Amino acid sequence: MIKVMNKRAFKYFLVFLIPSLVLGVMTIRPMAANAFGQNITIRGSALNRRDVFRGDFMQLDYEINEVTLEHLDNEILKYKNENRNFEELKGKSLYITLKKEGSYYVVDKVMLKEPKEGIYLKGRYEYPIWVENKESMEGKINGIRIEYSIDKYFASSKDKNNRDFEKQIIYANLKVYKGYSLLKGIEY
Amino acid sequence: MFNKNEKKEVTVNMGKKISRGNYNFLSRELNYQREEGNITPEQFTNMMEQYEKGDKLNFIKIIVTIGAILIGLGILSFVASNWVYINKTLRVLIILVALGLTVFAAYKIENNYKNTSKALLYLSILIYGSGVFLMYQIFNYSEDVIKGFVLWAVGTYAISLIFNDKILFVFSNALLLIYINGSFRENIISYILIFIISFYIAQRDFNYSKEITFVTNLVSLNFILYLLSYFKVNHFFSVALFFCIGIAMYYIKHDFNFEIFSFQGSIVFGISGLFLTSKNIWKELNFIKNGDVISIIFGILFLVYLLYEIKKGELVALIFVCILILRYYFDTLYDFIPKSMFFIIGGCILLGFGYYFEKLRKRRGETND
Repeated sequence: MIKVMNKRAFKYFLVFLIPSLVLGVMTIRPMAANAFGQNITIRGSALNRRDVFRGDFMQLDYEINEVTLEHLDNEILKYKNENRNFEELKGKSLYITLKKEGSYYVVDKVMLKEPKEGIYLKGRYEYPIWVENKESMEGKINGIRIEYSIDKYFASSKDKNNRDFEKQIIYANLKVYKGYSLLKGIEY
Repeated sequence: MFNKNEKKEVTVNMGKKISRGNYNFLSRELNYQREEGNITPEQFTNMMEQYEKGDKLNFIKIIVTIGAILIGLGILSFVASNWVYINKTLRVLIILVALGLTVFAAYKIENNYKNTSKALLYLSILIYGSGVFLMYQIFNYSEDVIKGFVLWAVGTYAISLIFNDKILFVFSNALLLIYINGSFRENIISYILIFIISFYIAQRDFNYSKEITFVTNLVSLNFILYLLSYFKVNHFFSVALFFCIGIAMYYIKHDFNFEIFSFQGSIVFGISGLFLTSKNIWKELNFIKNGDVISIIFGILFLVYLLYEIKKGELVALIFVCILILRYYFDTLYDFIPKSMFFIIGGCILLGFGYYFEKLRKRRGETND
């Protein structure tokens, strides 16, 4: 009788334990970034957005999202040559190292392999950026667009002084650890 | 002791608890049967002894329940409107506490209120799912959010096995469907294979239920579509492969819910057959310059085959003949005749098929008797 009782209670305990474990594991990376990561600031702009599932949030667009060709590694540039226009790079993960310039960070180099040290972010290639040559009316690729995991901010759209973030230059505070970036907050 | 000849309320301490209304009805009807002489007084007593009258609908109980619900709604509303201002740690704790309370409540009332307990179990699965996506939001993480579905599916699947619950099993399959369809660019092959293999093995525990076979097959078919897209297979070969798979599912007999396989197979080869009547698909083969001729040849052969199936009494084939004819009708006539004529004739075609469909169903019903 007691054994049956324990079995029933154990079943329900598992129903609590398994989801909690999964949710707990989801907090490991952000917490590690918070504890061991380095504080950096990057520049960008913010727009108010609304979504059926996630409610109100801010869509963030950073300087580091658009990278010009000079920052790209030779390995990556191979994907552009012979008119391949980065087609095969679609969906691939890229590692972007950052360097400090003034009070905030900018893109240093972009590569396909994970660097062993330094401040870097893991991103994904999205599409090439074309620039039109006004004289020859031909397009030329002069950069690529990279997406990171920090493009949405789910908190108040106004800062401490109640000024709207929208359409202003904002600075995002991140904690970066081994390619994972935790978006801590945005400010002017 | 009991006075057997009076219509008295028989109160006993053990017995099946039924509602007061049901108890009174039972007592009334059995008394009537006793008076009619259909059952003896001893039988009456024996029967009534088996049941126990449920608790009276207590006025206070109702008021207290409504009060509790209002408090619950108030707390929910407070949390929801202040969610962004709550500390991250506290948010995680709130999710875990909500999950814990729901599971505990489901555990406590399982014996007395089976259905409510099951409902609370399902609620805890939903809290788990929303918890996963809320975690993404709490840490402002916005990449690969579709991975949340596989995390949700893993937990739901494990719990469906623990409780041997069909609904949760089907739900975990559905979550996996969403995950596959959202990850066409990624390499998720190993994860999905593990899931699918274990789904088929687990079917034994659910007695090969029809719904489960249907939805697991759906996941497998979706996975094949994903593989074809990931390896960038030529569209013609993809559609042709599905056509062959459909035919195979339809004809190859086996012991594991063959009717479901055959039904799904007919839908699969029906849909892929329709795609093969388009000339653009055939153009993908290098040796075909103009797809017109071969697509029409295929269309005619396909139509003949479907008509043959209809003669055997297969209903799905009739639906596809209808769709096939409408497909050609729309394709050719849409630009040539005035819209009003188009709709009238189209409606007549549909009515004709509805009538023929019903006739076929009736005929099938008669031959089955």
